[in-house]
Amino acid sequence: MHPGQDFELEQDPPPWSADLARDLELGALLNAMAGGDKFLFDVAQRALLRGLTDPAAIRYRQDILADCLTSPTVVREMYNLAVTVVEGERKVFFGLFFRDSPDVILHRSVQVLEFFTGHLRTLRKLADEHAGNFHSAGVTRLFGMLTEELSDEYFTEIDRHLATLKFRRGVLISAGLGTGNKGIRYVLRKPREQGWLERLSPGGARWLQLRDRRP
Amino acid sequence: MRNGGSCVFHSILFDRPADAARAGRGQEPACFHDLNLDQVVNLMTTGRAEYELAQFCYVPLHDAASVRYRHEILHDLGNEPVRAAVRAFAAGMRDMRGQLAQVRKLRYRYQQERWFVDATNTYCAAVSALADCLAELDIRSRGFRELRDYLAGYTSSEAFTSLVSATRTLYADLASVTYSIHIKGNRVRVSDYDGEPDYSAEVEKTFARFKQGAVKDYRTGFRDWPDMNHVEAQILDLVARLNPEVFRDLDSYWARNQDYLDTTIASFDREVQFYLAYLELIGPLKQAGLDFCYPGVSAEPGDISADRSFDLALACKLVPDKLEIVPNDFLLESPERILVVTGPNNGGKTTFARMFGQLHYLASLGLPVPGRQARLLLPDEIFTHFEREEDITTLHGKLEDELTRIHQILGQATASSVLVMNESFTSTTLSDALFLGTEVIRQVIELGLAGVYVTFVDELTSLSDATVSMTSTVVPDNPAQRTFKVVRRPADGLAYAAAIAAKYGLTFERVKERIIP
Repeated sequence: MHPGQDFELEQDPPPWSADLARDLELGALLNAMAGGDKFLFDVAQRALLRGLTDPAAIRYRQDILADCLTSPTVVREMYNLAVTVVEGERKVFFGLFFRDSPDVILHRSVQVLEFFTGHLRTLRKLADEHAGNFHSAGVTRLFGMLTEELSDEYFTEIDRHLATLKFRRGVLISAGLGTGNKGIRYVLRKPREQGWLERLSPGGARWLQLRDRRP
Repeated sequence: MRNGGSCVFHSILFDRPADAARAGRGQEPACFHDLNLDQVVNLMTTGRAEYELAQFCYVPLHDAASVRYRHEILHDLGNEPVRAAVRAFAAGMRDMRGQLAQVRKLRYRYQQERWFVDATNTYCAAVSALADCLAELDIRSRGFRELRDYLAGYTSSEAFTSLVSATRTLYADLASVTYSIHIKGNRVRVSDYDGEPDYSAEVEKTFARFKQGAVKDYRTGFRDWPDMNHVEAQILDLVARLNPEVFRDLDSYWARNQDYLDTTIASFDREVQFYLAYLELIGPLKQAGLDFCYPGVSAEPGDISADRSFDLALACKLVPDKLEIVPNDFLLESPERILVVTGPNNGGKTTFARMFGQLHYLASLGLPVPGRQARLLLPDEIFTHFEREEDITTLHGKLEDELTRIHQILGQATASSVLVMNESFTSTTLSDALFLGTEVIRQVIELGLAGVYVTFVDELTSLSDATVSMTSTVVPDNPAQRTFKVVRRPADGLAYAAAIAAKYGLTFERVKERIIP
């Protein structure tokens, strides 16, 4: 919305908004823009009521609008992607309470991140495929950011973490001795790459295993 | 010992070991209930049950030097830095007992042993701190000086210094133990920590770019208790097997140091509470403007006096309610030995009698007593003879019981005893009460006892030059209102009657005025 600053979604509309909207019959226009989407209605209202005065800023928006008119499908797809993600997160986290065990919280968090990552990949792909069709400074910068920050290496790193965070190979924790010789300073540790089995194989590795006392 | 001190410290309460030996075997003295001293001791020992201070209250001293030994110590304790040092020491010792209690509560040995190290560490710190403070503070009493020398010797002894250094080493060794737990399903493996990186930090770093502003904290609180579950205990066992030297040291520390507590120091910790408890009891009374003084004491019969004294038990009750305490004076100068108190009922006679008994008991405990100044006898025994409710189980009459008790008292009393008699022989006729009272006072005088005799029989006030008459007084314009002042004055029962008569316009003159037409 702006070349050099964030769009203030939270800012209150100016005090004359109500009169202005009535005088200009803005309601009809906003409804048409939103098409029943409350979020879009909000954004449109805020944008319309805070008009621009700097020609460069107006040109910035006009260029982006031109891009959108040229490739409406891609832009709609990107917006739908965002809507899917926001609603999807709500679904996964629905029913998560503070009472839940750390296990459950971790499990759900990994699920949410997996879901996000999938859609971030799609977004990256859209940017990759259609970058050539967009020429405005605004969209070009957005696509550039997506390509740069959501690199393949970054996705690989995330995937590795999400796999590790399922702790299929168990959890490694370091600790010290505190009051009454109870464990203190518990820290989650990253097992060495060669893996536990190698370290624990015969030849000097020191570990001791707890007896399983399940009934 | 430093200063070439010839005496070795034994006790902060008793300069004579013989007295110390009596403490612990003492029973509540018979006079306690009559003198309300049981209430005083209750208040004094509240919140200090662990010290069993009542035992010390049951052992009066009979030697003026022993009393002075305590007075000197109390003077030192009046010095706030000294008291603060003792309080800090006591707090340390109390913490130590808490840690030892934890040792007894826990089931796993390595847990017990660790709490035991904490207890000895607390002890060493408390003792060292007290020794250091006493070395620097201005202390005058023989007791504290000897304690200072004792502590200086103790804290520089091989036993103590090696305990301190063993504790320090053990703590350092235990702190250096770090281990890893690998949990997979129901299998738990314990190994030495091998420098594996902090994984939480890595994950946070990867996702940091998505963090915009404050986020909700999903972390779960970790509950912690002193004891362990069986899994933690087994893990600890495995940690011990991975670090055999450290835990062998821990085992032997536990085995070697069970008797670490020095009995003299432990006794001091307990005994010094006797002083602190009393000082805390009288603190609010002094703030309310009441006087306390160190009485002059003598085990030999002599002059007895007190200025502006009061009943301590009553003061403890009234001061919190901001009610007024009326102080009283008395003086017994040779050949006087007995205060005979008469006067209107509820005029403070019993309170006065209690005060007399309390003063002597508190003085013989070596404590400051109520009053601006006092000279008191260190009695070999304080006898009380208070009017009692008739006891149906004895099948004896009240008078018979009273006579039996006074007979026993007179059989045991000496010239160094104190006797407090309150409303004795009231269950008989005036002439019998006069006869019995006269006989008792005659014997009391013969024995040379010092005491108070509260009675309604005016004639008893002037039996001999050994008796002094004192009367409770009323406000002249309003005889129903007591002043609670008991003053040295010839008994004149008629004075009280006249006051009442005057108030109601029944004096001879007023009546005559009305009769004459």
